[in-house]
Amino acid sequence: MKARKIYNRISVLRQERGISRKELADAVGINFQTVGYLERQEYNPSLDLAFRISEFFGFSVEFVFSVAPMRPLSEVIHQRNGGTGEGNPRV
Amino acid sequence: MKRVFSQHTNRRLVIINYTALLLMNVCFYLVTEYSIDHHVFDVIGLGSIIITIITFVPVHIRTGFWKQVHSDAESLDERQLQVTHQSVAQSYAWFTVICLIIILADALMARFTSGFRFIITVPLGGSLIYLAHSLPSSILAWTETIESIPDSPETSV
Repeated sequence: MKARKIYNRISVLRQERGISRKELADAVGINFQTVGYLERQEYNPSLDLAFRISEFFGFSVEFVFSVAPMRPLSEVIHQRNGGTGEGNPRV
Repeated sequence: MKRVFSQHTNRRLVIINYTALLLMNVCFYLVTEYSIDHHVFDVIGLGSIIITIITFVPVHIRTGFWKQVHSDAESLDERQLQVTHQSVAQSYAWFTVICLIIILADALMARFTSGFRFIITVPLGGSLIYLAHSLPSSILAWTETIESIPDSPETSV
């Protein structure tokens, strides 16, 4: 059976926190090459690994991983703010 | 930063590595069996051994694939375990086919060529042992995307 592709936000979250792939890999107990595979979405993690990564970033699993393509975080924040254009310079 | 070659370069090096190994065996066979007293074959044979050793280092050692396929399961993560298992299974199939081809070629040559005498020489035996040990690592070098150890968070995605 062919597995579904699992999308994730690991790359965005990692760069946002300013940590390297090696640091993330060491924190969750995997090889740094595996982080690269996860970020490129070329490898589907096990449930245990998905939980470990989510716990490391302090988010729920469904926020970090999804079976549907991830929306950009800026779009999610904009929608949560009611799409009012909050954060834009006022004229 | 630990320097490793790209997947494309590694594939070329794998081909060069095994071609040199084959060439070394052919030269050794011609020199010992047909008593060819020509230094060209000695030079090609020795050169092939040196090329095999030189290409072995970047493909198997620098990439860490040799260590990976010879490690305990406990020291590998889930993806490494998965790809190592696949590479070992594939290399087993390849090694079986290669051995059967050698046996078949020997049988056909003995049948249709007069005076042909096939022997398992020391280099051939050594080459088969090397092949059995290096094939899983070579398959990983062929299939895996290789990255250098990152220094900064801004690693290419």
